[in-house]
Amino acid sequence: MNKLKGLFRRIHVNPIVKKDLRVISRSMKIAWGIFAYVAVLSVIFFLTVYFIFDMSSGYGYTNNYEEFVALFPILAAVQFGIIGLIMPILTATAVSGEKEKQTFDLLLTTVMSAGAIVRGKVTSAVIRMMVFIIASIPLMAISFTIGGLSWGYLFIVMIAFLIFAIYTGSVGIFASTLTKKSITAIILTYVFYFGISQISFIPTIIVLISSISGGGVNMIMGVMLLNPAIAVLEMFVLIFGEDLFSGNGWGLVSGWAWVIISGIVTLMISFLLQRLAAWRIDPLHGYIIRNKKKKSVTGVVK
Amino acid sequence: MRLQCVVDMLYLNDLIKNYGKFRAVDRLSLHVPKGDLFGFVGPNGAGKTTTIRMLCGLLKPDYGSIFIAGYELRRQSEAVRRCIGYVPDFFGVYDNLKVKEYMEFYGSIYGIDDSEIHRMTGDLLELVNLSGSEEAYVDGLSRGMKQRLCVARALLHNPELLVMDEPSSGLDPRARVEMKELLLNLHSLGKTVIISSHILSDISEMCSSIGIMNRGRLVTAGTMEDILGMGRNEHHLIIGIRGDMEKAVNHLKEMPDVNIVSIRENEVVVNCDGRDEEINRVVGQLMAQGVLVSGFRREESNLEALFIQLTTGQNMGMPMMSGGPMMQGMPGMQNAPMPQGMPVMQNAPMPQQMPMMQNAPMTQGMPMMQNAPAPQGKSMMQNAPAPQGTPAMQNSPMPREMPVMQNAPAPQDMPMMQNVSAPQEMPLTAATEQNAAPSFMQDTPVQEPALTEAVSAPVFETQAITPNGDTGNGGNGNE
Repeated sequence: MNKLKGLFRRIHVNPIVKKDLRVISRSMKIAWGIFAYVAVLSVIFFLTVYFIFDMSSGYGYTNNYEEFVALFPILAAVQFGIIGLIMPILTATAVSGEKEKQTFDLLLTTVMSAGAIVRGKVTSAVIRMMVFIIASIPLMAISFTIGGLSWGYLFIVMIAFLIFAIYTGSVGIFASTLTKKSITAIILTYVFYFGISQISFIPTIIVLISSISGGGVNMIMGVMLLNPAIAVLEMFVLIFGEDLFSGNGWGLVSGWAWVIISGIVTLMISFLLQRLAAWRIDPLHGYIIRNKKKKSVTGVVK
Repeated sequence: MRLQCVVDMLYLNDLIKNYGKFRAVDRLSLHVPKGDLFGFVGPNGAGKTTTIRMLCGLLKPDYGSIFIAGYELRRQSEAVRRCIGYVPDFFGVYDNLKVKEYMEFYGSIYGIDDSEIHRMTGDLLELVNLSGSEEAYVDGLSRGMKQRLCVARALLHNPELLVMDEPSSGLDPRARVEMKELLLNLHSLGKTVIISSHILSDISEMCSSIGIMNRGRLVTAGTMEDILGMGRNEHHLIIGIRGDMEKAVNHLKEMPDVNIVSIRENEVVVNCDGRDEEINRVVGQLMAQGVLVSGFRREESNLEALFIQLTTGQNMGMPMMSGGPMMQGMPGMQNAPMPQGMPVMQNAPMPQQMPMMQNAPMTQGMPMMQNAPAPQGKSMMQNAPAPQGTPAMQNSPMPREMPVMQNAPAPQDMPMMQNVSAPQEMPLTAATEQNAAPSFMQDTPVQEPALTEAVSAPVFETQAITPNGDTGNGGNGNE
């Protein structure tokens, strides 16, 4: 047992993650947060069940249970929406909030690099988000009783939640480094999502309107890979056994390949945004000369 | 230089920082040897905090190099950060975090083992006099306790250099004394400590060396003895005169190379070449002229006077101290210490009711009023509300910033200050401060010596200094 303890002790956890989780678990906020999250999902669940009952049955209480297959995608889509709304609040306040509380300078004078600070902040926000998501699994699991969902799909959706949380968290932390006020950072994050989701559609709309054809179309349509919302949509369509991009003759990557590539692109954007955020908060960026080899002190003096 | 940057704990070379067009730090070069307790002083906006932030890696210098413990910030920033413990003047703490967890958080950033952190936390909290508060929440601590906790936090990774920006700002006198003791304690443990402070008395009592900054430049730096010795280049000779002061003044005015700085009831302060021969000559000539000299002595230099001299002199672009300020420590009228900032009404015709402040130590906050028009000075005094409970101020120390002098008996044979050869240069305080003087004096109610930062801060801005090395805000904790 002691060996196990020692092993855990040796695992390096980002100090920010450790501290944040400790502080969060101490306050009532997380308990109320989980309560509100599951409550909202439950309301959606009951509304969905109500509509499925109503619409499918023209007569009495006979139900078409096939319609219940839609329950899981609806709940999952709602969760994507909630992640998109909550993550900016968790991460957009990370840097600007520390600046407001005057704790940030102390952090920057330590040996912790700007990159590690950003990673720590995003990780702690993602973990908090995952706590909510895991709390919602029992509710989502009701869909199992009806069918239309396999363990594999549930696993895939959980991974998608994680990637989406990392992405939204990265956008939030980047916005947080752009402004001094937390509220501005939150708004900036929403603007950024909206921007990306709209801009990524523009090339496709142009293609559809002008009915261009040929090899260039693939490249133009490929911009939609930047949009995680399309990947999520494609994922659900695939779960239902269809494909958004099949049969259109454009020769695009389609099916799970699209989802996976888009997921990787999303992670890359997240990584880029985190690097940008680290660059923004590093007070010595552009000043430090990074040498792999450590030179002797006398060697560097002019 | 090669050797110097390795030997010194802190080595700044040609440091420049601009904020837009404003140059906050201008070609600053500074060396602090290992084991020093270095005091960084300067008026507000001199660039102290900017310099400190640069050497802690919180600001990017525009030019110049920073070496700490032999590591260059630019190339070995992590090594530099490991060598520095930084305690800012204002900082926040995290909510919902206990003292021991706070220490654990910063300890784990430096990669210190948990058990080691716990051991060190106990030791450090004892050092900063916070033992027993491991389980307390950091946001519930008082400001003084937070400040000490921050020192403990800064020492957690055992840095060689501790940098503190205004460590005693916002602390009450008791907390200041504790902070001072803590710093001396750290110094005795062999740590190099750099502090910036407005509280010159603290600096002069604690520090082994100081640097005075003004307008982004280092005006002077060196060991405490050297710096204080510099002030002795201004040789103020205080001559006690018994009898006819006017005669003595006239004789002194005739002497070459002797400037009269100020005249009091039975003393005259002159500025002369400080050699013993010169002092003998001045006093001897006076005596030869039949002036009854009751005594004479050199004025001791001190940090406040030097500070004002160095910083104000540069600000105004005027010759320092020429016929200038009344230095503190001068025995004023009948053993009453004459503070800085006392109105010296040279060239001002004396109003009849001019109060003479016998035995009353004057207060700070009174601007110098050389060349000030008399009516202003007069009305100022007359309109000043008579302080409650101070009907006559003989032998009674005056409260600070009290609108003085009404009801104080004016001796008839007052040999005051008329026609004294006053210097034409503006002395000591800036013109704006002079203009502000009347309202300042009229409106200021009788105040108890305040303990708060609010009072201590402006002291420097007006550059008024009180006697005895005290900044006069009562908050320096010299109990």
